[in-house]
Amino acid sequence: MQEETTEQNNIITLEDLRPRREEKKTFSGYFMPRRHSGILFDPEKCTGCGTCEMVCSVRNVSKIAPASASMEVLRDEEDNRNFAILCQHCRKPLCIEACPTRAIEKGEDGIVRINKLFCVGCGLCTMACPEAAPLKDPVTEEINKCDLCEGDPLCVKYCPSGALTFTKGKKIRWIKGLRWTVQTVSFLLLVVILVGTFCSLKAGALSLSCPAGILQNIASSGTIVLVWILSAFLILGLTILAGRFFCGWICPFGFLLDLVDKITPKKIGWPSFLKSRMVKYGILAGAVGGSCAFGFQAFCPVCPIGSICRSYGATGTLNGANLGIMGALAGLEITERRVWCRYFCPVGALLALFAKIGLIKIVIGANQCKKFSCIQCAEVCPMGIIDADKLREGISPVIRMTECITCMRCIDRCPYGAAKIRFRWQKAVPGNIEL
Amino acid sequence: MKLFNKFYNMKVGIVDLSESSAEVAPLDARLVAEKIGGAAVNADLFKRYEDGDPLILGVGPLTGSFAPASCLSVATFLAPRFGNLCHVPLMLRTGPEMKFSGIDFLVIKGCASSPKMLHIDKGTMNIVSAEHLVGLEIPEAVQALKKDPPLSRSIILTGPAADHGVSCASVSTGMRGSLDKAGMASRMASKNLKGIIFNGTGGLPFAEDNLNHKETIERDLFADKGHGNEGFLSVLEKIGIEDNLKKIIKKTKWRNMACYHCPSPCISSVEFTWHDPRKNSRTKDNIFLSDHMGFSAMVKKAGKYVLPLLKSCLRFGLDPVAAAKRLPEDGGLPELLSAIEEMSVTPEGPEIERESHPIGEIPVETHNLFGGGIPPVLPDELWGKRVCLSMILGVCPIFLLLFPQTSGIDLLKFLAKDEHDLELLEEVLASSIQSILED
Repeated sequence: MQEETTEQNNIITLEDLRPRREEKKTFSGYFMPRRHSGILFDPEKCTGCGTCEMVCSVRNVSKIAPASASMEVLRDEEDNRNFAILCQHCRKPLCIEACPTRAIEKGEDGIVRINKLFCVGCGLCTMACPEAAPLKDPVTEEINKCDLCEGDPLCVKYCPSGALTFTKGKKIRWIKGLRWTVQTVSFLLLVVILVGTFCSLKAGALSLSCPAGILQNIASSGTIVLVWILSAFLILGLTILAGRFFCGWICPFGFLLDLVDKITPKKIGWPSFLKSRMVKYGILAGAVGGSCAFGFQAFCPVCPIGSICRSYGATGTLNGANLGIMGALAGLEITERRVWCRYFCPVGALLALFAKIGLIKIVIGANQCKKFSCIQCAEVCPMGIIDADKLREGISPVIRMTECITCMRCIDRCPYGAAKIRFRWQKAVPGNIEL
Repeated sequence: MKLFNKFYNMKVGIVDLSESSAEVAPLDARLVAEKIGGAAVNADLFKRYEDGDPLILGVGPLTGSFAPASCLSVATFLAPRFGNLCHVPLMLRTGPEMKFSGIDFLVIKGCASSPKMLHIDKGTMNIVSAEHLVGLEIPEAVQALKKDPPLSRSIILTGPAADHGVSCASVSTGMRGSLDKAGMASRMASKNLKGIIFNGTGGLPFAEDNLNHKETIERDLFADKGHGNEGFLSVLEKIGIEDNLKKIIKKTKWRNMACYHCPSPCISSVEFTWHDPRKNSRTKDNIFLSDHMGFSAMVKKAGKYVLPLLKSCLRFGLDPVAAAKRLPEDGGLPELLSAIEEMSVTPEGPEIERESHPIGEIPVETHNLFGGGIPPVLPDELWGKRVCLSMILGVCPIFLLLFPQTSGIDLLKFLAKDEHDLELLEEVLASSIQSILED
């Protein structure tokens, strides 16, 4: 019995040889994430000369043998376009999961490396990789995979047309910090300091009002007062300039939803038959129609934004029906992020109409976007408008500005600088190719 | 000469289509020592195997190496259209793929009993049936070849024009055409050889310090203007651009392309929209332009219809220069497209077409000696010597014509280990150039 135990103890397992590394989550990593190095490929600039394959093969096998390179340029003779297959050093590499001998690992520097001592050349990593980036050497039958030449990629160095560029990724997520600060200050201003101001504020000659409230006011009274329209113009003007910036950065109810989201990270899902973004336009139309019919602002009494603004202070109504409605709507956050904003908010619906003619847009550049190997923008988008399935198919998503709340989480999170703000008239995505 | 060991596999493939045999023999070291390579060695091999009416393919020592634009392989044969021995440049990736497939020179003699393809990979050669490809347009044939294993990294193919015995047929490298104006496609068709596939899965060590020498050359060449991305139009400007071309360019999107390891692209892909008379609708299309002479001839003849007509020539494997000559003087696009289609199925008599006028100051015999498709970028006697230099060393002739400051010595430095080697190579190179031009 004792002999058997000793024998068992002598067996060296894969765990002893190649222990799995767990990614540690640290507080500093939250605001200052690890740099994500990678090579960006621009198909518009690539001439297909193959110098990249040539120098890569020299590093791999000490001779010019393009077939033994760790990257490959596909030359599509029908469409006359070139596309480079190279390792994207994914955030969660599927090749690591697929490798039966744990020969592949992601280093602290973010580079995914293959250890040839352990590699048996089975090719499972190639099958698992969405880009089929680990390439089998036709002569040695070993797997070759880009290791970014330990931080100074030769392919980038020698590319004559500048189609390849090396990026070390972003260091600080500064937008996140700025947004939380602005949201907190806005919340304090609108809810605590200037009580009840979002619905209507009059400070001397300056008059500010909720645009949806004004619309209902006009409908209920049957009169159009120029001052009312002008008072709503601050938010509408901001929307034309910066999209639904109000929803992402200023709205106190939106801030509350973001806080609830933080404490309920796991979502149970919103029923698919209720996933229509047109509902909010219906509610807006209903609110205006109701106001017209009943002679008072039909939606305002139950509006969660108004409720939260009116909930504090001497005259505050931090109780009763308003609090119940607000709580119930905030509770929807356990199903999906910003459910209220996505499907129901009539204020957001009105702003969406103005965002449609807005001056800016958010684009995701196809050339920089790593698509299936990243998908971080889709994960962080609170409005769920970045289609992860399209990214998995290798297509850069187009962002609908009517639904985008300009929170800029995608810009902040994208490690490659692919998500950008552009003016409406600027070319959206140079060389966007659908693979 | 051990000098070349790092630059050649030192193997020659000998294919006898009549016997259906293919063997790989060691390359005579003395031959490369005396001739260096490319067209010079090809010419020598042609003489050795003259009885079999051979088609010789060969690479230069610098083909596939660190030397800039090292893309070239040369096809040497008795040109059906010019009646003389000629050396046709095959560019894009044909040269390196041939070298990395394990052979440096290929002698194809005899005539097969049925259409055949030659498949070369890892230093072995296989003759396979190509009957399923006969009559297919070039894009269809290439797709059919790429579907079937083994891999087809580089393909030289003849189209339906050659299948029908058309004298102005032109060979195509993949779907992208070639500079063949001498009748290489007809010569292949006469041998019942439909195409050749090279799978360059191997490699060669070359000299390690060559990368630094390449950097030095390119730094000097592109010191003023960064990298030399010029594209197809830059060559057209040098050989005389047509006024109406500017209108055509306005409506198209050009993207520069390059052959193997070329720092200064002179070929382009073009996206254009045209009214396809067969579909009776506007169609978005694209074309790969590598034949400057063909484009120039076609734009003179057909003006704004140049791109669809060239595309049609590529599909059928026709030489655009010869096709442009035979197009009707007037007629709309449907008539011109029909004329090209008609041309690709109409066998002609064996008359030899000869240009009578010199091209610039280049004698027509010299121009035809190199296949008649290399643009007259340097329109003087230097043209012949520069092209000959490129054809021996395995460097793109257009690159050497565009950058005359890159001297033969600059290129020989890739081969030579020391000054003594350099002097020796210079002498051999000069005599090789002389022998080709005199032949």
